[in-house]
Amino acid sequence: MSNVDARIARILAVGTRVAVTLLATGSILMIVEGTSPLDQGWPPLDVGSLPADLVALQPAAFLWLGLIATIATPLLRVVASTWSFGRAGERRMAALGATVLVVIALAVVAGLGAG
Amino acid sequence: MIVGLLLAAGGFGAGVFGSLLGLGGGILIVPLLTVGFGVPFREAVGVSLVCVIVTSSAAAGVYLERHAANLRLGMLLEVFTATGALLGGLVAFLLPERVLAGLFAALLAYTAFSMLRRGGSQPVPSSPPAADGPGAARDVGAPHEPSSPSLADEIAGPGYRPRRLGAGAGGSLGAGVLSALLGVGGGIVKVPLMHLVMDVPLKVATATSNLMIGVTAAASAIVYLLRGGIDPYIAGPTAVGVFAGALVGSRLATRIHVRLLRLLFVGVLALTAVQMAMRAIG
Repeated sequence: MSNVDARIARILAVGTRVAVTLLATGSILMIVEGTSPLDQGWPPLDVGSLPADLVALQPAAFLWLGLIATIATPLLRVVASTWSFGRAGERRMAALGATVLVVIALAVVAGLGAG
Repeated sequence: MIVGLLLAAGGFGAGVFGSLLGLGGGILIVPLLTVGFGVPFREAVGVSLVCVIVTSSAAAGVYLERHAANLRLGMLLEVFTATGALLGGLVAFLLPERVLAGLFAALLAYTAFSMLRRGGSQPVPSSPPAADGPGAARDVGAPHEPSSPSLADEIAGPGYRPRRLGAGAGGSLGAGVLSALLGVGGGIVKVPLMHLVMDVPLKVATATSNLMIGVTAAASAIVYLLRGGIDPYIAGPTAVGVFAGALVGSRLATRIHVRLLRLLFVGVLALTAVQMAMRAIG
């Protein structure tokens, strides 16, 4: 197995563990708090208040952070692959990775613009 | 409290079945949430995308460790699946939910038909294959054989050279749109596309499809997340359940009579397709 594959596999494994741990923590807090997911709306994602809400053990904060970690994990894989191909001088593959990241950036713009 | 536990249990069941039957979680999660819990279709798709990313990331790491996935081929096709997913994520908010439910019913019917036709043959695994697969292309930075290789040479693996790259790109775009509209991984399109159209070995196609699912679903999940289309209270317990279920399912796979299970599951898919179709008709 190449070092790159090993590095990317490690990123995916650690990212998944972190994401699932955060989601599980948020879910347990939500259940302990007695919140019923289907009975109410959900609090909006406010990145600025996440640290304080995490300290206050707010279930939604752990869940939002878990969702962000979930989505970020495969994107980190693309960043790591692109960087590795770039360093190895494989410009065409690095350009493909960079194109995927541009599409992801467009998704962020589209989501924020329409939100 | 009970609902949170039920969501986790439902996700667990979907994870186990999905892993045993070689299906991504999405095809099970959307009906579970819409039919089982009365969640609006678009919200169910958002939650399903999260579940699909979790299971894909977990499995893709193992595929890479086992050298089963072709990272270069995946990165080429991801350009198109991610673009399709971005477009699909935007279109999903414009289409009436009844149209989406109708499309999902058609997908369920197609999946049931495909599983029935496959009969006793090996299912396409969503979990990593048991044996190492020598499917990956050469290591990063390793020299090419030709001095100025074509793109097909660059993404070739041991014993195969992907063909019809244009068709692969077009099909990947479609798979991305499908993933974003219906909350599925799109493996049902990508695996046959790579295997039958691009001449990529089935094991490599399966592993590479799994590798691509995370990025594809992430492109549309970002749109859903930022547009307020993902309910964290539903996504959290469901995703944790799916993750745990997929782990258990991959360990049960060698001990369970999957052929009988698959036939039973075809019936469940067909019934769910009818319910979805009725929802579409109103």
